[in-house]
Amino acid sequence: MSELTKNFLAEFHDFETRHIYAENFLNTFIATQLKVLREECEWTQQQLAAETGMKQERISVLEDVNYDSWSLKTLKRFARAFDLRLSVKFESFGSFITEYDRFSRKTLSRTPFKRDPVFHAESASAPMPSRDTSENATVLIQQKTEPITVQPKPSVRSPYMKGRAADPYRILLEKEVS
Amino acid sequence: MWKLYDYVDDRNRNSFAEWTRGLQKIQRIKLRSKLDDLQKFGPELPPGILIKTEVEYIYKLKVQGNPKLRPMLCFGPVGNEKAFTLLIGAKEISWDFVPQFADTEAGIRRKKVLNNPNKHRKEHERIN
Repeated sequence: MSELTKNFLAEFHDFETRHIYAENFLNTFIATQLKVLREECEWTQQQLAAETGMKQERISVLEDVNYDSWSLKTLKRFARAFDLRLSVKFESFGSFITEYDRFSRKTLSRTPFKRDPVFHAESASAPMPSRDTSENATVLIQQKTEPITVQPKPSVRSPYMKGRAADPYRILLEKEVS
Repeated sequence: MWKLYDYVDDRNRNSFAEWTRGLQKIQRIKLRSKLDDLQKFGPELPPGILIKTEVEYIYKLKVQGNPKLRPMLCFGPVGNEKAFTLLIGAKEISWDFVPQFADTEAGIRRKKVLNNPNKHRKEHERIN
């Protein structure tokens, strides 16, 4: 057991301590996941701004662990831009330690719908998307897992985009084509 | 994991620990939470966890609240160690640091640590 885990187990008996830690980690989690997802799309902040209908300066403010005024409305806009689903859950404190311990670029990464193997036969050999088993992430951007019928479309356009296809891997695909 | 050190002054006092003890409980917890993040996640992944100051090599940690805490620190500074040294406790009030030249003082302290790490730093003291 790490020293940090021992500290949490002892200090979380204090109400203020556990809630301040959870709130701080929530802010860190969201800001970092936004950055990770954007980088996986190979988007600049300017490009993500265009996809979400925000200004680049706003994206810069939100991609900061010190930002703490999140709204569901804003997070939903990001979910659409990345073509992921937004999951909001209340969790027990028991799962905090595991989630804190596992925090990494890998665990923040999510597969967008276009490459989600649940919905795409060509990806059937790919590993199933790992369901997030963490119990305390209050807000997570996760993969879509609902069994819905998908109509093939050349591109899905986001209501927030400004003249851009709302496919986060569009740029990657364009590169492959060219 | 990154290692944290506290600056120790000429009289062998851990002034960062003393400053921390003088904070209100809520602020102490917020500070501890940020320092744990820094120690656990390092400076690369979480965006905005460290902010440059006007003084070379000196960074500030943002701890929101009232007052706004701005502890100042540096990487290392000895060799290529995966460590931070907490140099001075500071607050930010109306865009000014308290103490006023905290970033400059942090720069001076960093040089002292660099010249004599055995004398001017010790392992970070976790204050509850």
